[in-house]
Amino acid sequence: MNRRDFLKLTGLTGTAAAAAACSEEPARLLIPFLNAPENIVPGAASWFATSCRQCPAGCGVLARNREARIVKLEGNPDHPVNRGALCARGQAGLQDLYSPDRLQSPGLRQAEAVQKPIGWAEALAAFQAEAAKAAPKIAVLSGLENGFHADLLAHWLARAGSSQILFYEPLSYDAVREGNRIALGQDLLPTYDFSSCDFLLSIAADFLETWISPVELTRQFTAARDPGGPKAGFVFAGTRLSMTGANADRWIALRSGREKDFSFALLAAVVKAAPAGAASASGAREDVKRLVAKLDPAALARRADVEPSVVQALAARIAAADRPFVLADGDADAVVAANLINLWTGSAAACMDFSRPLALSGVAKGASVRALVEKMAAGDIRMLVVHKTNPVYSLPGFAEALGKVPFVAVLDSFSTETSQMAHLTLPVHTAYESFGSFVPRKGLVDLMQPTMGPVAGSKPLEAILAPDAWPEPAQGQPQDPSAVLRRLGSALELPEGKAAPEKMLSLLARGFAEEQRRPAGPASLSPQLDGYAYRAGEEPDGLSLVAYPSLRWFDGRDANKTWMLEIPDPLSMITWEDWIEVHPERAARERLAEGDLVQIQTPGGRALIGVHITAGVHPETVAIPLGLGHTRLGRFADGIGANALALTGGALRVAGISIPKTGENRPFAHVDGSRSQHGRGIAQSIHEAGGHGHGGPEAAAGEAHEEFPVRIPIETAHDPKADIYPAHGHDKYRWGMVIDLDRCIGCSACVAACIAENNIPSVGRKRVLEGREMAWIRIERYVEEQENPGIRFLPMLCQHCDNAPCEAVCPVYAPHHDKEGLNTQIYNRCIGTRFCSQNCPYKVRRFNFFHYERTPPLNMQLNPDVTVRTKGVMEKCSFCIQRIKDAHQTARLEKRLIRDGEVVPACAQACPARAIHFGSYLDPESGISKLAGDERAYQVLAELGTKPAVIYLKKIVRNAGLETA
Amino acid sequence: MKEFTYAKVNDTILRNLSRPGAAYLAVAALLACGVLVGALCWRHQILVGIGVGGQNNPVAWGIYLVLFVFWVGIAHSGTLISAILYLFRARFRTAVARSAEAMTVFAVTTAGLFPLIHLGRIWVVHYMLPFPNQRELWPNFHSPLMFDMVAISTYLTVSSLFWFTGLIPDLAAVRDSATGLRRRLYGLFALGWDNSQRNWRHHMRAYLFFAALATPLVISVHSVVSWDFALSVIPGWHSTIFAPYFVAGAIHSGLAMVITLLIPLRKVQKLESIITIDIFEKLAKVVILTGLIVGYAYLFEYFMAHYSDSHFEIDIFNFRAVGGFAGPFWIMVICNSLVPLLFFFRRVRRSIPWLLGISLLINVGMFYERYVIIISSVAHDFLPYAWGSYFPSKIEIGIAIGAFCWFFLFFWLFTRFIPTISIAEIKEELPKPVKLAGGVHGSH
Repeated sequence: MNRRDFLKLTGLTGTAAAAAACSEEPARLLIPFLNAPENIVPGAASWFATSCRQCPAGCGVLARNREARIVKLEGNPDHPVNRGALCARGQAGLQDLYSPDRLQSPGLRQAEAVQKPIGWAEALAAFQAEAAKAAPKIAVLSGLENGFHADLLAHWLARAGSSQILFYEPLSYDAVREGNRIALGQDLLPTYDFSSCDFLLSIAADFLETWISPVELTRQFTAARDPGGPKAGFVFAGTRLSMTGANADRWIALRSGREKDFSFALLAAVVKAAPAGAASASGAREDVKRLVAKLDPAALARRADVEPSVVQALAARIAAADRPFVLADGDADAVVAANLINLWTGSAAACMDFSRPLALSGVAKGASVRALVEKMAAGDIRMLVVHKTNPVYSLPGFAEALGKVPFVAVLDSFSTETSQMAHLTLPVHTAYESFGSFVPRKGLVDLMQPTMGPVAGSKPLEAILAPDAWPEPAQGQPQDPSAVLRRLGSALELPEGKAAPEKMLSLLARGFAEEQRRPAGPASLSPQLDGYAYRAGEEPDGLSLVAYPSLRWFDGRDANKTWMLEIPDPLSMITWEDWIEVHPERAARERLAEGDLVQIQTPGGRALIGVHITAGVHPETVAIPLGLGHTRLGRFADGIGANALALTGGALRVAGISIPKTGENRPFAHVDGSRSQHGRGIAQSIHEAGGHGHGGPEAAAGEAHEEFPVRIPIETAHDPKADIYPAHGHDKYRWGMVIDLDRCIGCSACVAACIAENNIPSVGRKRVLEGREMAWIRIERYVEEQENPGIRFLPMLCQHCDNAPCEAVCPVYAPHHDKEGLNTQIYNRCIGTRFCSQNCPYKVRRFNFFHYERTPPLNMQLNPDVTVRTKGVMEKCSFCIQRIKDAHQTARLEKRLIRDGEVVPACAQACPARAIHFGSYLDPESGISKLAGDERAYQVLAELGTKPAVIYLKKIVRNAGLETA
Repeated sequence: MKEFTYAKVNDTILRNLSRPGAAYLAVAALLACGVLVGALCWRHQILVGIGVGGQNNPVAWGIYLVLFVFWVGIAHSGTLISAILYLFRARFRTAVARSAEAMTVFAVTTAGLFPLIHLGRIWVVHYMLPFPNQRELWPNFHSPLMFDMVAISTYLTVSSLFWFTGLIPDLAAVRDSATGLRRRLYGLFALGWDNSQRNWRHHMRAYLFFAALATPLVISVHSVVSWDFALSVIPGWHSTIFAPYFVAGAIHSGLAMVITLLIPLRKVQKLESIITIDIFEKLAKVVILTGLIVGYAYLFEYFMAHYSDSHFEIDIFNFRAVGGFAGPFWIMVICNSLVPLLFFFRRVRRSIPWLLGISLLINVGMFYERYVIIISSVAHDFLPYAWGSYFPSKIEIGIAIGAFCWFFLFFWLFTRFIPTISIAEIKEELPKPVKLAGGVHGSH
């Protein structure tokens, strides 16, 4: 018997003995020995392609399934929308799946005030009986669906003799669609592509955070602004400095509600500055000229609180650019003017593809939703089915109308404010548990499949709506996956026609099907300007409130996720609560201090909220993020913050509000120690060479410490004059990272990816206040007061120093420099002196001050490849060592070295801007070795001689060219 | 002391070892309760996690390490008085050396608790011991914490042995005047002392050698403790001045603590005739010196920070003096280097209330010195984004109270079980008896 056999035998008998001994409690096995489910190999991950349904963008995702549980969501690298990247909200979809507030069983409310859990048979019977009773006065209000599920709902509704189905999204982009209709004759949202533009202007469109399809637009944005190529200029005009604005060359602060004045001022100036009218149709040209003929750009600009010269300069830049593109949101008139500029310059057809309208084009407009609400209030709806949306929270006035509907059935995965008011709740599978399809845009179909078994006591939509949504009994029962698959296949409208059943499996594996040729679109974009004219708004002066979709909570649907609560907002750096942004001037005038609680009073309601003082908002405006203020969404979201949709009456802006002080102050759980870098040159930048009067890179030399050369942490860079200790020898690889600060937009997708991959606990507001947050990678945000917008983002993580200060001071060698250059942390060895953290100049080490619990079933998300750390040990970024080890395995099996780019840490994988590069410095041909030679390369605190393995590329500060002489 | 006879010395000192009264027991019980509070707080911390304290990112070390340095500092002047002054034949030390040494031993014992209390995982503290093991794991002797462990345990061993060596003749004296179990117990610790010439010769040699051995430790221990900070990269810590600065501060605080302890002790034990005001005056003069050294160190830290032209160094010292740490900083400066200057006035040096008040203020000031150094530097180091702050929690304060009670409980027991003044050495100070009786003359 050799050692292996002995160990096997010991393990077997030991397990058997243990199993026999524990007969009292039924044995709970992770993976059954017999009849193990297909595809489950212990230790090996399976990846399932599906579609991210966290927002209407429809990114493709791959769900990583380990031992029958999804532990990570990553972007599908082949998917045309997101090309492998995934935003933080998308990744946090796992916390929907494993939400402790999932509906566990159907609930029925009769005479009593609260719902009582009932069995499925009873619930389905009640559902069908009520539907039969109410037919045909039935309406369906659903979150945006346009594929399989939309089909099922419509079919079911048709059986009941109704066709009142509305796809409702709180952020419906009505203004953009209306603007598109007027200016371009298209009542749609087009597929955008501005990746080859050389000048971008966004008017209140936060396309890097939430606007329409942020991951895709971020990719286009970084492509247009690629530091390696000709770089597009980017100017942001808006009431507040959003994260998108923070990435601009210049932020133009607009008075709230005056986007259209700014937009029209610019249109008028552009029409004057670029009389050639580029590629615009001649008829349109005359229309536009007529439209702006009587407008005074200077007066309009002043209405928006903008210097007329700035508008002139902006118009000149647009006129000078080869392909300028203007995005706009806010109000329809602003979008009209922006579109007319695009039409004038010829970019409208080039950058907006109306032949491939986005899924959002199918969203019900505000008017039709209002019509439904009126019908409900009038008692014309006998039964309302609400599917995966939460209008009681997001639609002011909906709750009252809902009270008039005799029977409300809510089909959702978790409890919401709406489901609490329902007569019947039916738990339905989340997107990760269901078959389905979604069409992000015309010509592209995402396929969805169950990526794991059901987590809660929910059922798929097809089973709930059967038999009425299930027309042919011959196709089998809706509980039978192959039957569902057949139905899904028959419902699919693929570019090449119906999918053959045998092709369905390969389609599911790929996750999407795309039409290669562009569908035939409208022949030309022609404005519908008859009877249209600029009209100055009647906005009353005084304080106005702007609500904006949050990067973290979107329209409120992501509020009950610990990840989304704990990842700080990229600009305010506040966690676990919302805030009201107040300009310093106003704060000084009204004697408001950071954290002061004010009672915000609007026509829509009132709420207590803490003041966050920031120069990133127009002085006459205050701003709050959307998403909090829930009452019945779940244990994490309830009771915190204010519902901005209610406060603004759903309009996202309201004027004539007041923010009286309450006299209380409640410190924010924010994670930034200081907003300024105090001239320390931490997040460095260079001015664009040959820019508008600001000189080349040497102009920034005064920022301190830049003079230190980059010292790559490899043996050949060892300098006996600078290094006391001998050089580390490295086997084959010296892992390192290059982060391009010019690409980083601050979106925190990397933070979410790291949290998911590395089992990082969310510690809660109290602990964040105490300074015990655990994230291994953080986006440091620094404000350069002298600049506009002057925001620097710096992803900070363990630098894996060659000369690591942490390693020397640990008495037990828990931090350890391994043979591949990693600064590894050996959790078992750590005794918790915390000396390493004290001595870390980058303060990236995180200590487990407590044993952090995850509310079940959130613990099911834990990555089995990564240790869950216990209390009393130090932890920090490992460069995703589990992925490196995985690559080693593969390479060894294939008898080769690990290829450059084969190891991708979670942060780099998720990054929508592709700012993070990973590889080995020992390979001179590797991507990072080449990038490390860039003239922008620097190391943070290089003067300490730690020789960090993370090399940053300086942000290029571009002059917007709007200076007034 | 001229009027003392050998017998009177015995009487004055040994009468304090009589059966304790209710007041003594009450104080002892109170102190024991304080220790219990500390122990329960520690238990809570072990069960729940270090997070019950106030430490955080970036201030990972809190009041435990502050108290560690504080108590190690206190421990210093005991050895200074008993060893260095012994070697220098400074006779005024005789009356106070015993208590100072006892203070040293108890202070090191107290200090030694804190690195343990501070650990995140006390249950694996043995990883710090260099024991042979199958996994071939070895502690990291590059780490200043390992230096600490070696330095502190050496210091505890040497100072305990030194103290004990000096105690032997006195323990024999107690034995000789006692009966029953008490006699047997003291006899056990007196190691069979029989007052012979041979005994005395060996004892005096041993004491001298220990004094010589202990002397370098006075310098080394606190130098090593200072390296916990000086060997790091953190601005405000990474400085060569730290070792002498810490040693001077340690002696400063130790002397202050000696004065603080002796004033009540001489009152309670009625030792005014032995621990005279002259002795306090001499101690006060040393305090002036150490106070000036400490003040010099404070000044030169500033000079060096600005002279270095390092942005980080300058910022941290500005942060301490005029920024968020101004309160503790100015308490430190005033209590440690300005208030002791009052000792330049003879009247102040010779006034018991002034002595007590100033020594207490120095104790407070030295606590704040450690607080300022340990907390402020990491709260405000390189990356402004990571700046933070710290305030001790209830649990930490509970443990701190427990530690103070632990120290004072030991000292309280010491005053009742061990002669607080070296009987033998006091007798050396007395004039030789005029009449030599044939029999036993006074019992040593």
